[in-house]
Amino acid sequence: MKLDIWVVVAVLVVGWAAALLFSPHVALDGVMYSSVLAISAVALTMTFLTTKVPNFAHGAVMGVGTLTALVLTQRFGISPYLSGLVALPFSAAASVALYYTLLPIYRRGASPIILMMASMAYNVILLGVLNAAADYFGRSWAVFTRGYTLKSADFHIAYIQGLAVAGPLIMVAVAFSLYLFLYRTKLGVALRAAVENEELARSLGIDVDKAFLIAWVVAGLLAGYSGALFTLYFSVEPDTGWMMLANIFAASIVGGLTSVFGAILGAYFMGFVEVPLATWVASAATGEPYLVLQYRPLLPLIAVALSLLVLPRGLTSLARRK
Amino acid sequence: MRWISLVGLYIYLLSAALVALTGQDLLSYVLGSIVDVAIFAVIALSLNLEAGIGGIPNFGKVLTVTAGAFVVGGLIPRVAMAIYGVKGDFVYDNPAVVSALSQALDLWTSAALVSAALILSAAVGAVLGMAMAAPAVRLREDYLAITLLALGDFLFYVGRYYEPLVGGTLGVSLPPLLEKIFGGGAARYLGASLLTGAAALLLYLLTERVTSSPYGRALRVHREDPELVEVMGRSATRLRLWALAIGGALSAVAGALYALYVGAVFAGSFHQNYLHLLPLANDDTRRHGQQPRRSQRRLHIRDAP
Repeated sequence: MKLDIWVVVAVLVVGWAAALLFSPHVALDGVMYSSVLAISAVALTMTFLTTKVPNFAHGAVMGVGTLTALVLTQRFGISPYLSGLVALPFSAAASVALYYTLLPIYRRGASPIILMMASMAYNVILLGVLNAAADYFGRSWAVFTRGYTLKSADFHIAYIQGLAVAGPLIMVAVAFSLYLFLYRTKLGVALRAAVENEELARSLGIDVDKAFLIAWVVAGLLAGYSGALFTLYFSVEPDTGWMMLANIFAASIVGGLTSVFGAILGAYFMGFVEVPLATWVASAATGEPYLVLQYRPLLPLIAVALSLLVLPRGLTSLARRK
Repeated sequence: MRWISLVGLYIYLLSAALVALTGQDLLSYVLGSIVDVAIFAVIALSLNLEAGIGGIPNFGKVLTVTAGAFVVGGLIPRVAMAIYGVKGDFVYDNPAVVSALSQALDLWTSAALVSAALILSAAVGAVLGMAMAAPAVRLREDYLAITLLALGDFLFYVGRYYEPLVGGTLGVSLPPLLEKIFGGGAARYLGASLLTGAAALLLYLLTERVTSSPYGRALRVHREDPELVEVMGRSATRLRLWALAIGGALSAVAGALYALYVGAVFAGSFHQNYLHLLPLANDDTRRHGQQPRRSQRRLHIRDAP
């Protein structure tokens, strides 16, 4: 049976619509989660596309946004959407620092596994710095930096939490501006060329290092902002991005790891599986759904394994198979 | 061997001197670190067999280590309860059961239980290692690494949320098996370091034999080029299967020894922290006494102007 990507998209749309009809509360929860996941997965995919490294420090870069949003929102009473913006220079700087750490190893032609280990080491360092900063700000500014959510700081539209509306809007804005950047600007076209064939791009006079640097800056910005948005979804701490890494990887891998827009599709797929679908299945199977639902962290792990084994190029490969 | 390569040892000797100078218990510090080093040496041995010799980047190492510890934490105390007819639930009446068992246990039963724990965990580890070979059949390098990394956390989540196994988020205490064999206090440290040290030495000799056997040589060929193994008339898939089975058994024994030494099992301590994987990043691990990898040689040629 030949499965077309549009069939997947159609099934997904019908699934979300059904979820919104039958259990709006769970579905809106899922929409919030998927939107933030999508922004984060796009960032992860951009780093993988350029330097070919499964970036294990991605969660820590998100942590920069999470911590900044937690601290600034509590201290100055500004909206988390705004304090997330303040985090952007910091998360971009963390991302660029990682890029320059990995660059010499990448130039040496090391295998992806060596690069992956290097990103893990950077992750450990960055998490240490973040946790130290969290302790410092927590004590000196008297704010909560662990196990705290900014849900109450979000706006509401008639009982609907703001993120359920703002999340998809921000996601669409991100996707649209990425589309404009990648397909309508010279730099974006150069970046796509460099991703497609690095050597050829170099011989055409494209500054590949600069193009990759821009990609890592964009990845840092998106990661930081998604980290800040996660404060509106559940209880967070500086390590939350790192804890969510398996989920983000799952979204990115289901999307194929090779396409920025595939990552968005993957995120809405994984969000649908993890929130509305898992809740339905659990409530249909047992009288005590929460006893089953606590195993939810296993879902992304299984999804990663299944997707890599069955469809190693992800959902986006379905579009090309014709 | 260059002097700089022993830098870890120098730092350790400095720390031991610091412990002695500040008047703390040097003996248990040294014995405790022997146990730690022996346990991590066994894990490193299994990683070396899989990644260094076989070229399979097993980033899910923590899975089989956890399995070994869960055998010790979830199965062995229940066997002991059955032997002595101790009533109650091991997880929910943990303190009462452990105290009843510590009164009932004798030397020989404890020794038998410890041996059973090591053998059973090796068997469970081997089976899990074989299961991990399934993704290794189809995937290479970074995709395989991500898959195994993801699967590595599987048992952690099961152990954490399925309370009857090893007590969920609270963990379980184990009956004092090592105390019954070696005695309490410093004697327990001495016994634990002897047990783990002997196990590490034995497993080292065993893996040396495996790697110098025809199978080990075929595994080296597999690292250089899996297709070459097929040309030689051996199945690369079976080669990988056995490498991961042996590696899984080794690391599960390490997990069991760790649980026996600590005297408790807590699922939260088996979450990936990745530091144990650092040997994978070391080029020496990856070409243990061998020519540079083919891929590296190729890169040298390409990099030449």
